[in-house]
Amino acid sequence: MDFTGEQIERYSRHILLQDIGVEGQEKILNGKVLVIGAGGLGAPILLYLAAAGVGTLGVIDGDVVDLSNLQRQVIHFTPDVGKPKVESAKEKINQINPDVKVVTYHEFFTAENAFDIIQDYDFIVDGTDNFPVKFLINDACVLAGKPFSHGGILRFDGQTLTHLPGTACYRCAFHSPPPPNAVPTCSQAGVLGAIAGMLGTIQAAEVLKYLTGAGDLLTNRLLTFNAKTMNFRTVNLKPNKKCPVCGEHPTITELVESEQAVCELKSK
Amino acid sequence: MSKIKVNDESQEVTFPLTVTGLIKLNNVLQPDMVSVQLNGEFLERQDFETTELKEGDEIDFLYFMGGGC
Amino acid sequence: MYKLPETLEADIEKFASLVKDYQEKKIESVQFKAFRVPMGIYEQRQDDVYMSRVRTTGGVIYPKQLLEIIEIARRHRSNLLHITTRQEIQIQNLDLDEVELVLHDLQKIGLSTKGGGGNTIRNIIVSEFSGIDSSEQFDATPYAMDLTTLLIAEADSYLLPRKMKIAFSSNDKQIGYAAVNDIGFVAKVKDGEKGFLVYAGGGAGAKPTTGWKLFDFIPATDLYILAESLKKFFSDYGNRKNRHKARLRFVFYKLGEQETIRLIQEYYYNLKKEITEPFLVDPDFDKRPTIAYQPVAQTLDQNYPLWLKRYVSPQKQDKYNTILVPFLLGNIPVDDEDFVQKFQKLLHFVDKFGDYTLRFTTTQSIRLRNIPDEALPELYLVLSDLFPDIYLPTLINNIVSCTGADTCRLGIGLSKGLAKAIRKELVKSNLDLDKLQETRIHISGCPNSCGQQLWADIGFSGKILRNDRVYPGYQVYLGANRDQSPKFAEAVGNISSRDIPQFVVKLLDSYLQTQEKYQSLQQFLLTEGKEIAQLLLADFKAVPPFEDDKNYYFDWGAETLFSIVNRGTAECSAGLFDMIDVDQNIINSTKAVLEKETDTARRNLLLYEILFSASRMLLVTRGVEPKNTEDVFSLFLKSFIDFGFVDEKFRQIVTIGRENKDFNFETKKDEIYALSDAVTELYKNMDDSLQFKNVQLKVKVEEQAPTVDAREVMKPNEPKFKDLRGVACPMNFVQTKIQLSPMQSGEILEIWLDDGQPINNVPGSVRGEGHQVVEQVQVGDYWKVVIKKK
Repeated sequence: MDFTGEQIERYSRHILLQDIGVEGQEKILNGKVLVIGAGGLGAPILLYLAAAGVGTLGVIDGDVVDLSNLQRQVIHFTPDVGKPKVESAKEKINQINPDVKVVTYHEFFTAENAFDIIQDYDFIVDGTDNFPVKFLINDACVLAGKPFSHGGILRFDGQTLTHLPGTACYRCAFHSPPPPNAVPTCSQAGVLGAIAGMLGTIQAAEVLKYLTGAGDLLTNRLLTFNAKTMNFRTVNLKPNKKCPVCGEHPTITELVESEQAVCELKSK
Repeated sequence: MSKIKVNDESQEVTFPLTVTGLIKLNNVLQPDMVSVQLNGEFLERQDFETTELKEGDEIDFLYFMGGGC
Repeated sequence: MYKLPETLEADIEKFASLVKDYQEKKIESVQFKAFRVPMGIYEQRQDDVYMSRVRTTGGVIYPKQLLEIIEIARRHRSNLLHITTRQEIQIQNLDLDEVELVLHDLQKIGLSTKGGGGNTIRNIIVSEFSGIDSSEQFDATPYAMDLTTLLIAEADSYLLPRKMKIAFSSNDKQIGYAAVNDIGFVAKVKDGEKGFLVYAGGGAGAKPTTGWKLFDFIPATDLYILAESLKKFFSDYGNRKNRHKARLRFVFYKLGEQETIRLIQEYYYNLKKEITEPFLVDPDFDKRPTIAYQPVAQTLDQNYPLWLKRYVSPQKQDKYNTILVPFLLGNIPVDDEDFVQKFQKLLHFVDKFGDYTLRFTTTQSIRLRNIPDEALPELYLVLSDLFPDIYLPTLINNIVSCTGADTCRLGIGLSKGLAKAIRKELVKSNLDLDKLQETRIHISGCPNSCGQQLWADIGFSGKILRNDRVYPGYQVYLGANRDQSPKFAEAVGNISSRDIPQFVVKLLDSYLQTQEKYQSLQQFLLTEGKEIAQLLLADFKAVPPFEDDKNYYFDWGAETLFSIVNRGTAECSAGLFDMIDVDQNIINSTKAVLEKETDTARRNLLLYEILFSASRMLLVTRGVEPKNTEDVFSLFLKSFIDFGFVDEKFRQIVTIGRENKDFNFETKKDEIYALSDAVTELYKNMDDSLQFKNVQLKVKVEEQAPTVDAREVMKPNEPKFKDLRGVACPMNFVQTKIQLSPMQSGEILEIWLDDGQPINNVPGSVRGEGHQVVEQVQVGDYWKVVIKKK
């Protein structure tokens, strides 16, 4: 692949990095990444991946921009209120980096469409805001053998885990979704806006590391942090033999959506 | 008093103590919603009550975080 | 004593200037190493800590010199002297800045480190009893000494395909090391003329063998001619491409015994025509001076007679004695003030009896000689002050061990810990150890032969054993013959580390019970002893499960559970092919076990083991070093699958191996088998230069397929060029990387850079990525920089 002069200039700070270099940047430009959710986490993830030049970015979100989103969803601007989030995100990505091909899905990620959508991508990023979908993403990726990044934030806390086939999955640690409303989501309990940026950029870094092969991914490790203390810690995880989806005797062999209602998707 | 490690931090406790006891001791906000690793292995929820801790055990509490919106 | 080479002064100067260049980052560490190692200076396991290896032919050193070496070491902040199994002494733990000063100081006392490492003529060994043994032919030491002087003065002695080891024996009934060195000379008298029986090609490393007999007799006056012709032959025929198949024995393997011997003889007869001057040595070498020693009345304790019996032997010279002074593992701690004072006292004492009173032995100890009868009581007092245990049976004090896994990156077992445990068990036992005076127990922490386990009566080499878990173990070797018909010890089976001390005691016990039936321990060990050993090994075979007895899963002296993680691969002299064969054997034997195994969990573990070994097997050929288990898989992906040496379809299974060793591998059994076959096939197609034949490289194909510049096809060697004048930092470096990216390794790129920041930064950055800056010259107001891609 030949770089244009403009590309050399644009990506020079990546090319300078010994672990990325020309070869790594090529891999980024050839990468196909799906970001599920264009909200608090999705926003920084999409912005950084777009800036980095990820070749194809898929964005799936069935929602529209709401005024209450703007406190943290930095990819959407005030005039975007009312617009489908995927449209709003696509416009910004195009402005940041015309190299990037954006594929939008103005729908929610469900058991029906999951496999069809993820099959086209090298890496999946969870930027969603509720447990049923987080577990659905996990199951779909594990069953399809796709690597993905899990992310979750609440109040002042964040956690993330990267899964590759064979490594501990989200279900290894958190067997199944909590009952509805047992654990608050950020739409109920609130969240410090910047936390979304902190965790989202960590997830974006994981994607770039995965694409280029640089460094050690957060596999078999759950990174958690608390912004009040600013303590970061990684908890070592092992694939759980009793995991219902990737353990020795899996009980989940096809995708089923959790029965509980998606938690207050429309509550803003 | 004996020492164990909870979330990487040393904690002094008195035995006998079960995992359930430790959860209570640490005022975990939603005891039913915590995932527990004991010395690197996940514990089944139904075993919390019966698992006795011992000197030097390392326990990790993992909490659900569902946000992202 | 040998004479220092005339070039030594210049060599040390050059070394000093390279140190400076290296510290100023003007040269790469490999360039520095290329000169440093043949100078006898090694970097130790710890980065930036150096060791200098002092040449002492036949272990001969004057007491005055050793006293000086202690001072030199202390002056230059070394805390440890170490006696090697090649009868040398090392000054360890030196800062790089001190090394040059050490070399100068050594030069002043007539010693040198040159040739202590690398592809050179290494220190020449002489049997420790040479010159004092009543059954010997004659003293070989002066021959070794003068041969050293001639060989180390010659530039081509430092440019060999691989190291060349020479050993002398003074006694044809005790051939010893002469049989297992590249060249072995055994003293022989024929028709009243002194001469040597000559062996060549022996060695204990990869593909070990005893040497081939080259000449039944050559006159001693021809010694230099023969050594020189062997050196030249080796220089011409040794494998320079693959250092792991380079030692002289590989020429024998390659050309066959007859042809090799014929060629060597041809070299010898041709050189004989050129050199007519006979090789003569000082006839007065090692003459005992007349000493007026006044014995002082001494009060001796009850252990004196034991010491006399165990450590003191009469020499062939009437009224003179030789005494073994054992140093555990060859270590002389010069930072231990009390120890040093007592040791100095010993050296001052023996100095009274002349220069030739000390020799380093191949068992990493010191042997005193030329001590008159009347001086023994006083010597005992001096010695027992230094070592209170000096009277214990020799076997206790003379177990040989390499440094083992606590400092060696190749180590599997903690060999020093095992030596200590055996020692303890022997002391505890009620065996009559005095009947085992000559018994040699040798331990290596890994399958390499640093501890000379193949040369022992009872030898051990570290090995990973498994039941449900891995545990430390050793391969057992029995019955080396070091006498008239040299033979390596035979491998007889495996045993856990834990059980070895008991095994040793039981085996020696059964020997002592039947001792009268046998001429020697060796004879016992190769007949009845072997069967007994095998029965013992069978008894010890089952180790208790982890839950029942955790001791088996900790190595001797270890504080953590035994683990295979953190084993590295070789920097020097580790048998590359041994390492490959280890994995190949694991694969084969594991497959055999798997066929019979029905337990699901165990089958899974076995499959994982095959996957692991298949991934690790050839990594060493790519020069990559896995630091842990995960690394094995990652490096395999990078070095074999990414390059297309191994089919892409195996990427998934290798990734699973890396990420989840508890995966249900049964579901991928066929794939794992196919992968191991692919790796084996690749190994079969590997040539001496470690290249794989018949492999279409993915990387190459991809790089060459698209638009090929016609100019490159026409002139493949033409350097590529980019004018980066007017391009500011860091974009000039970005552009340089863009140019280098599609180039092949070794290709040349020329760039032009502006003066100032660009020239100050870009070449450094290029080097930082591992490329070589071959040339950097100013042309008018800009710079021309020539880069060779890594």
